[in-house]
Amino acid sequence: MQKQDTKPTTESEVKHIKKIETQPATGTEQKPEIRTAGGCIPVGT
Amino acid sequence: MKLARQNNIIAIKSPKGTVMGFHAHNLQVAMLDDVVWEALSPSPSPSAELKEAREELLAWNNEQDARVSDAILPQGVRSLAINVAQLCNLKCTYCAAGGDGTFGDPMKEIDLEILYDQIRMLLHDVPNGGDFKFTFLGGEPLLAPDALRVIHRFAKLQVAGRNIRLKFDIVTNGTLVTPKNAELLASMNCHVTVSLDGPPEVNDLSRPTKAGKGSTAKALEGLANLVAVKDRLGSLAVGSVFGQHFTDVVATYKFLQPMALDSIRFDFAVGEGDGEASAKYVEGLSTVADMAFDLGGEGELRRLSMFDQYFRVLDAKKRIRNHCGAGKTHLHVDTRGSLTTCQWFVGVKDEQVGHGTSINQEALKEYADPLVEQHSCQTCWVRNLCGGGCMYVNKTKTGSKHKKDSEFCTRTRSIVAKGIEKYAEARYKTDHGVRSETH
Repeated sequence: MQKQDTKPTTESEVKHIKKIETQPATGTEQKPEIRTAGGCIPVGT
Repeated sequence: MKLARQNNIIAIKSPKGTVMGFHAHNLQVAMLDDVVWEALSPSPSPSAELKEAREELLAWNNEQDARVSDAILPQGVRSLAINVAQLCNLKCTYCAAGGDGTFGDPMKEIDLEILYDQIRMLLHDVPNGGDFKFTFLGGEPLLAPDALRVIHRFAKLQVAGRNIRLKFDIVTNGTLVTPKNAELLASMNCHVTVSLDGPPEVNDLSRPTKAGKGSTAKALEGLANLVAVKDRLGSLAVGSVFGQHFTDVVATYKFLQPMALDSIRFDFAVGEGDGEASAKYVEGLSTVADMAFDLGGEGELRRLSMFDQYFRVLDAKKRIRNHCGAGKTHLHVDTRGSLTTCQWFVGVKDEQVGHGTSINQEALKEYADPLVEQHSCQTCWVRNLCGGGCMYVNKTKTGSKHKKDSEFCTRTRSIVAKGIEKYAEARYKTDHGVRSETH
């Protein structure tokens, strides 16, 4: 069984995989939440 | 676009050769180098660099990210879709509401007495601090504007003095949005979606009036009336339906893009033998995603609702366990007061889960478990962004709500892969803080 690494690896520790940390982009925070449209109930409602 | 997989890790290689990685359980996106891509293929005598990349992949695969959790749905019903009218002034070629908006039971206005009892009961169960959403559907809901007005007023009165947020949505064909009706929707701070499939030469064919005439001019007039009150609407969107009748997503995007819309929603109408149309739809969406991003970066891309949804989930780090809330947080009422879990089950006797204020809790037990479990999605890498797929699509294509439609799954995986590619493109910064070129 593989050892479970509970600490997310940081960029400095790796060479081949550069993880993207969550960072809400400027200017999109105020975008209205669209959760309904024709024909379907969107994901997660 | 090419894909490779090793357990939790999916590698996506764009046509330009950039490689992105996605951790399916931790909802994490990464940029990968070419060595990782190579490391995902079997190699009898791997180099030291290849071995190093494989170790990194393994370490990433085995990570447990405590910041990521399952999205939890609230207890009880928090959303009611209402067939305000079961009549329509259009006769769309792909109409799934009985072919004419009536579901086989024409009624020009909902039975308000029954509906009021239902609203009173459902809002009573919403805890303080909670939300509740009403969605006005049909038929064409603006055939009964007075019903919208009184339903809105009644619901507001029910929560007066309580800390409950009500939200009102409507899906309309737009042809009846007069300045007066636009003002009505603005007074409700309504979130409005106008159904419009594309430029007139397309929309007039797929969404004709009952008399067989084009409806685009009237729908555009209605949209203009909505734009005039847009600052008082919750949001303004257009929803377009593609399928075997039409797959030119690019033409529709070009038509809609200049409009003052908060959101553009593209849907695919399923049908027998729709594999070829589905592939064309996905190809078109992929092109449109690139066009939108090139035109206005993340903001413009996220006007396309499906990509906005993927960005939201990736940012929130919440695994989606249910494609929708049907039967859990959501119910639908038809004009006679019969309850189903989804608008597309209206008029189907076996799918009825109640009438009036009587809800068949036994019938709702079928819906209780997360859809990703009910649909056996445990090994699918997009499960936590898709949420298990659509029960209506399944039933239409396979005869069972819980037996997956493989075309739906293929389509969803392709669109999610594109979404991950664009997420990486939008969010990845180099050491110098400059966005990388990923395509």
